[in-house]
Amino acid sequence: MTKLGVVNFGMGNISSITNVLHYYKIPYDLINYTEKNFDKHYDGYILPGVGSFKNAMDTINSSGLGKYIIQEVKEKHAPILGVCLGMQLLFDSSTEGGGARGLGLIEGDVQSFESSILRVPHVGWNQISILKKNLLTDLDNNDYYFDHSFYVSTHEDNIISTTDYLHNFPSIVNKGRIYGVQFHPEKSQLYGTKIINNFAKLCGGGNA
Amino acid sequence: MLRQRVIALILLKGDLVVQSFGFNLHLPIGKLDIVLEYLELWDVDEVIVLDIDATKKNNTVNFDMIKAASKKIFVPLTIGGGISSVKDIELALHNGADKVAINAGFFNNDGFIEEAVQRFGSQCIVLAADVMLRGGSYFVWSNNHQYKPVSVTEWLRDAIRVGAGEIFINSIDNDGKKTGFDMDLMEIIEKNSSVPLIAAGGAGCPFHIKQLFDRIDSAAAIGNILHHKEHSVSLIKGYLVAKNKNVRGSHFLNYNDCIFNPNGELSPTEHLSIFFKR
Repeated sequence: MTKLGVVNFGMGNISSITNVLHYYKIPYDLINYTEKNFDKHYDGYILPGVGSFKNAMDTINSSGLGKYIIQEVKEKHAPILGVCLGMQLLFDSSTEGGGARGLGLIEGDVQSFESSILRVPHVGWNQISILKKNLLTDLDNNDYYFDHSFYVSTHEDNIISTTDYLHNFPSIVNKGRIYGVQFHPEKSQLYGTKIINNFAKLCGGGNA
Repeated sequence: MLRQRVIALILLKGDLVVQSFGFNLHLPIGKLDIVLEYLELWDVDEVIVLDIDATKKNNTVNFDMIKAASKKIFVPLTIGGGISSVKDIELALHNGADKVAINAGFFNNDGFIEEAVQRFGSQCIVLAADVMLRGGSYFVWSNNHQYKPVSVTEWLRDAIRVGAGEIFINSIDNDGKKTGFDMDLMEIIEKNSSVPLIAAGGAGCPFHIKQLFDRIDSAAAIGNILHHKEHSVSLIKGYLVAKNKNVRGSHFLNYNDCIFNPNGELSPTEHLSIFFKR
């Protein structure tokens, strides 16, 4: 049976993600940063997260989670879905807190919204414009819940959808079996939770 | 384009959901899980749950109850009531909260907000103030006047300095009066801050939300008018969509094409005609 691993590096609300997995009856294990060894293989990984990029990477690196995730994704080609900060961590680096290196699974970097016109953080429901056919969603112009002060800058080949706040920024990214969503699908009602179910489907599980 | 948010403000006294009038009279509504289940079904944009007794009782909001109620809630959930340490925030987040609202805990701030922002990010921290007009100026009051009131602009400056991700302002004067939001107050906050604002206190009908959205770049937090009414949020959104406000419409229960009275409410006959059309 297909089983997902939900990475828990001790920041943010893991239960919002696991509530959705329960709702769709998708089997999962929590992979806690406090564990001694990371040797189990899962059919797919969810990397949630809110908070500071640097703090997150410090925990991920010092716990050994970073090495494990990179190995699973790069060598075993396991699918991964990064959510909000979890999506940003998939990239090379961030300017946050004087700069920090990410997991480097997709080329690109993370920058801050700097604006005197619009309020930061970008918080609330905003629409996505889908640029490319993909396995997560086909609902163009749909509303999702965002809450972030940083956004990703990457090659257009990696961008599935964009969202407009100050300028168009990537709201869904994809490279191979690596996926990232800047918004919170777990907090975007039916059309959001469907994205998590669709990810589980592309891992070989999910619910019809 | 970013939508203007219609947020449900759910007040608790212990384990009971209540309506509030002037911060001193409270009427019981019922159980949290049932209230949340309906609001989610009616497409509310976010929910803020505050236990208004927690600080007084030197307690925190009941995390077990929050956890149970949050299981089927797939919109953002902000939790408040007696939160005054990094540990409290961690507990809230582990029990189904996506953000925390901090009021009295910021008043006697010993630097824990800065630490919390470092750890969880500012997007997780909503700083909340209860505000009263006295002698022509606005003051923030906290914890039943336990602390000396401070000027609202001074409070705001501090809130921004420590890294608030959102500012929640509740008008004590307008609470439960159904006369609309305190626009002068919200304008002061809007002008002096670049952080997202949530306005609360005084909404008595959907028109008052339109009034706020017309003038001020703010989310609307509404409480009393959500209760004792079927489809309350969906009806409000139907009116706001009809008035060309940039809100996320209600999907399941769509009232967009109805005829609303000047208050933004449906007449009883309009209710009936919709019933028969369907």
